Parts: sequence; C-alpha cells; structure tokens
Amino acid sequence: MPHIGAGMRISLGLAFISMTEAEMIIYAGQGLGYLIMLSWRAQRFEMLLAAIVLIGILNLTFDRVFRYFVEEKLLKWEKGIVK
Amino acid sequence: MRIRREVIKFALPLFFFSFWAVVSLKGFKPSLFDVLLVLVHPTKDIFGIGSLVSCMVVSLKEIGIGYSVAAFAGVILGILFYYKTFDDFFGSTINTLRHIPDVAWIPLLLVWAGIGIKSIVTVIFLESFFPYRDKYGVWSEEYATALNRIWRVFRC
Repeated sequence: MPHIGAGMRISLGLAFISMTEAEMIIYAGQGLGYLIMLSWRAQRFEMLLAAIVLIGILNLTFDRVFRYFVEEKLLKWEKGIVK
Repeated sequence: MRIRREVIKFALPLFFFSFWAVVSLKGFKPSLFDVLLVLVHPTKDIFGIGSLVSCMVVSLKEIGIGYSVAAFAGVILGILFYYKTFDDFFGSTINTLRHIPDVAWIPLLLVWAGIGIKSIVTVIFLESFFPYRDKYGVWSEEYATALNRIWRVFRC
C-alpha cells in the first residue's frame, strides 16, 4: 500500500507537468498552458505569472489533499508499525 | 521552538514578495499588484478565450480524464505483471516505452488524434501511467512474497 500511495502522488505531479507542456506545445485553444503561451505572445506577463501561480496552487492543493487522505487516513496503520 | 520553525518556513516567501512589491513600486514589470489583480478577478475574460477559471476547468478536466485512465490501466497492468509470462512478454516493450519522453510523442499524437483535448489527455496518460504501473508491480510482488511466506508457515 505505501508503494501505491507514493505512485499515486508521483503520477499526479507528473500529470500536472505533462498537462502544462502538452497544452503549451499543442496549442489547442484552451487550458492554463495555452494561456501561458498566449500571454507570452501578447507580452502580458502579469497574466502569464498568474497562470503559473495558479498551476502551482492547484498542484500543491491536490498534493496536500492526496497526502492527507492517503497517508494520514489510508496508511494510518503504517505509522503505528514504524513507531 | 515551534513558533520559530513556523517563522523560518514563511521567511523566504515573505522576503520574496516584499522584495517584489518594492521593485514593482519602482516600475518593475510584471508588477506583483497586476498579478494579484488578475488572480482576484478570475472570472474576467482574457484574450477572448475565456476566463482564468474556465481555463483552469479545462485543464482539470484533462488531468481528470488522463489520470483516471492511467490509474485504471496502471492498476490492471501492475497486477498482471505479477505473472511471470506476462512480465516476460510485455516487460521489455513497456520498459523501452517508459524511457521515451512524453514530449517526443506530441508530433505523432497531433497526426493521430488532432489538435485538441484527445492529444493532451494522451500525453497526460503516458506520463502518469508508468509510476502507477511500477508501484503496483512492486506492490503485487511484495504481496505475493508475503502470501508465499504465510502459506509456508501454515503448511508446516
């Protein structure tokens, strides 16, 4: 179970990274990655930074929620064994 | 001691934002206040493509689909990899594929799936699938070893 929890968290972080790069390259007309590229082209750097900050906040929030539910709730027993 | 640790944790971000605020007042672009203005009005339309919130919803939708499919496929394959024949047959191919960066697939995906959500979801799937499969593979091996030990103990 600890391995699965770690895999879930790693995958989630990688999903955010790949989402950003895919949207930036594919340029599909929607999404935060696309907004970064569009802001860069329009030289609206405040918009670009806002999109970057938002991606960071989203990733951090999901990671913390995951960590809470998986490590604190689902893997509670593991802490008992370590102690 | 605990308060000191908490202060230390927030010291660097506080310093960073204070510094940015000061240089913004002196005309540095992008200004911290402009960024905050964008973030506090997330529903405002940007470049005619929708608001920050609508962009976020699209991104989260893509992650939701890609991640769920990767999780499902990773769990199934991770468990199946417990079987040696399956591992021998697919293992080398999947291990080769995992070493290809997901960005390298993008041109080909554009040809196959077109410019749109399908290609982006596939890239997310490719990136998040392998950690799942690896970790489930390790888990199924460990689980099998543990079961084997229990079986040996109770057989005697």
